[in-house]
Amino acid sequence: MSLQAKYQQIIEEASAAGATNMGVNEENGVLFISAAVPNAAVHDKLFEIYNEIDPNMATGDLVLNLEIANEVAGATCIVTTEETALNVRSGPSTNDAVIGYAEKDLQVTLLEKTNEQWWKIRTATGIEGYSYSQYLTAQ
Amino acid sequence: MRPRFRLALVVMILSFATLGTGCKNKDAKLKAAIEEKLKANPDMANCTVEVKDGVATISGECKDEMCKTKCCEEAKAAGAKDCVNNCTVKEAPKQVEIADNSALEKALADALKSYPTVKGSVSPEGKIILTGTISAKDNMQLVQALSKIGGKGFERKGLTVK
Repeated sequence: MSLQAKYQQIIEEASAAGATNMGVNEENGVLFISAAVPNAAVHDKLFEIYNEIDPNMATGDLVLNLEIANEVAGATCIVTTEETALNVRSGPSTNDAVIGYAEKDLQVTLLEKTNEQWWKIRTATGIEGYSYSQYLTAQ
Repeated sequence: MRPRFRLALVVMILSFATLGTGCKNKDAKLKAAIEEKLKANPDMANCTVEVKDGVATISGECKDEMCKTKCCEEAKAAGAKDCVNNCTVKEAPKQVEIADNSALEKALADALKSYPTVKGSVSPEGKIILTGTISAKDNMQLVQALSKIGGKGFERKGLTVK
């Protein structure tokens, strides 16, 4: 089975869900799928499918690079930490000091996607700083 | 010795002498002509030529195979009857390919800060190598994060998902 056939369901689901700019390339035994998807829900769904096809994604033969289209400067994001509040730091790394917190389930404003891992945000109380993007979901 | 015979002998000797000198002269002229052509091309400037009886022998160091072939072409164009090519070709310095995985390594290290039970590195080909242990839930988060940072795939045989 070719890699594209193995992961065909992801490609089809992405299309159906409104993915744009889709690229599918195979190189040296690894499939690369890149696309822009409308929101985090579609993003999560596609990774669920990936996990079903390849349990725990253990084979490592797919790089599913999805950009979430509604994650743009100005967007409202919800803090989606497990339990605790999200640290807001003075700079985009864990070496930078914590200057405040963004409470779980509350809203913040996305100011800038500084890089993949770190976004600059403004909390409801006006604190501006950097938080780990994994715990922010654009609405 | 009869005078006519002596005259003939002298003429013959002189002719041979002239011929000999002429041959030597021709060789010298041809050598000079070929040398000029070689010097005109910087790739061949380290080559030397000897000419004997109109046959050129070229030695020395040529830049590459094409240059080596051209040396004899030039010699023949200058008038050599034939050409012996003893040129050696300089071996091209090996291009060292340095893949810059440093950006990928940094992004990987950043992503792994949240997963202290996982160790990661980048292979020379740009694959992300993961070892250690991780929960299924964290594994999902980690794969999502690592799929955005580049990388040519994953080597995760050493990573146990609980």
